[in-house]
Amino acid sequence: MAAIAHRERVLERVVDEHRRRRRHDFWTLYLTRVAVLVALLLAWQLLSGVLLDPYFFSRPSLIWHQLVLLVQSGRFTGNVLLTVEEAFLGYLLGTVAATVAAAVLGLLPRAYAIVEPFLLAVYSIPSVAIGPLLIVWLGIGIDSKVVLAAYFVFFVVFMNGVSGVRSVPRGWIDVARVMGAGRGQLVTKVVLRGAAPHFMTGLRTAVPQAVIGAIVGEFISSQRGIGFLISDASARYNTAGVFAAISVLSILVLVMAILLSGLSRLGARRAG
Amino acid sequence: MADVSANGRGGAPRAEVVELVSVYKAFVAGGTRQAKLALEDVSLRVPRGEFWSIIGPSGCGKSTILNLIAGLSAPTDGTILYDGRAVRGVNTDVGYVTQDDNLLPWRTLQANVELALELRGVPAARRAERSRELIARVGLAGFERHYPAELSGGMRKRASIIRTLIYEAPVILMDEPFGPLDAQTRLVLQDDLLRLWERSRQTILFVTHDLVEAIALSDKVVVMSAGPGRIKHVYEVGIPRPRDVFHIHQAPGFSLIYDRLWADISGEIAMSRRAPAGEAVRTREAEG
Repeated sequence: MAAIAHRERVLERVVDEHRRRRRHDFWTLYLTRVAVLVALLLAWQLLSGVLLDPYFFSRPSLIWHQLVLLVQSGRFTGNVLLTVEEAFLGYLLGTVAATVAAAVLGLLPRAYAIVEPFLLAVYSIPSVAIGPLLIVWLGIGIDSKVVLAAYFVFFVVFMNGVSGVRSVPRGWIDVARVMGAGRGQLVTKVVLRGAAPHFMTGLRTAVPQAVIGAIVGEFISSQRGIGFLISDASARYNTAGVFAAISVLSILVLVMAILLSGLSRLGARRAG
Repeated sequence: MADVSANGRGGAPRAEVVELVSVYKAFVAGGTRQAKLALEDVSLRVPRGEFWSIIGPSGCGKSTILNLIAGLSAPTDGTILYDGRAVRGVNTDVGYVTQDDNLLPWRTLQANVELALELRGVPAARRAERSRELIARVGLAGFERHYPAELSGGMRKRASIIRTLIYEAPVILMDEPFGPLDAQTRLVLQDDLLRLWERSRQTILFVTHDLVEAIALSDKVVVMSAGPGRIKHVYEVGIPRPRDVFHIHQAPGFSLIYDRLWADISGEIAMSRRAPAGEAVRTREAEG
């Protein structure tokens, strides 16, 4: 009895230590991050006016002031939501198209060999060149921004996806084929699932790409959105306004990335 | 008991389930662009319900034979017959235990074992019943919800074997399934395999490089020579069943068959050592 109780105590101690260490790691990580951010802002604030010309580089207090003005003017929510909507729809469109394309082309090496140079050619078109075209085709409304965001997203997800599909071990596929898997089953149960880690990398890196796509679209031609706020402020030489809009953008991308990683963790648990 | 027949087909004629008729397989090596013969004039007739092992030096085309029977690749010349019909395309009547366990890392042990039944549309309740039974029989009960990465090498091997046995394919191909395991685990798994097989009596083709393993498990042992792969001899292992793999070396007739096989194989190994480049020479010597 005593021996068993002792064993329990030993095991408990290890679990306890492990839990404490993890909690500790978690908090030190986040506290350090916050400290770094605060230090950067503080340095900026203090150096502005001494080393940095506030006319060009602004300073955190002015940027904060601009943010407050923006919210008070009532222009904040509508513009942010529009950019979020464009980025979100573009992300959906881009990822779905890229996943289908990657699955099909990853499994058909000959077809992939044929289209690869064309894909690279399309990929090499600078966004500033394709943006105006999309606006000519789709108008200055939300559609052109969504497609531009999708274009940015597509290649990131597609490239990762294709390499994921191709890295699925031959043995997994052969074993499933011998077991009697049909083509569809092979794709859904082995290939896409096996390529999932690569796809996840693509999906994660595509989040900022979607926002960039939407912003570029707004930059080229728009009366609304965060991109418009940036171009509008910079046209008036309002550097604090530009920085204010940029900081909104960064926070937006951060929130989206956190949501996505939470979602993927949930998905991983579900799939188990 | 130690009835060693030099040329395979001993005993009364039986229905062959797998048949290779003068099969040739050639590959083009990527670097040299030259064709290389992996199998030359290989003929084999495996009767239903027997356990056959294939041994030979590495590179003698043992695995190639299994791939051909599974229909994963096609012969360059000759025919593979399964149940009297030529194999064209993937042969889903066989189960294939590959050298790597090839368990899907995102599936739990149980989900991996059930994969074949899932692909065949067997309802979940029936699947779970079958998989639980097999999992228990190889001593993996309690690990159903573990992922492959959380299992030891021996456990993964067991899992990969029962996931192949679960759909009761009439023929099971096994490619050095116990290769990378430690000696104790090997013995235990050989014992597991024999027990499973003695219930089901499927036809098994078992590739190995371990002489004792081949003798302990098989009815017949096929000895191959390398460069290009040919069948040298087919030996009958006369040891009665059920067998005790842990004491197989004490079984009557063991040393006789072991010595015969070893004499045959050691010649092959010496040959492939002496002439690493000269394939033509090696082949001629092997024939002599």
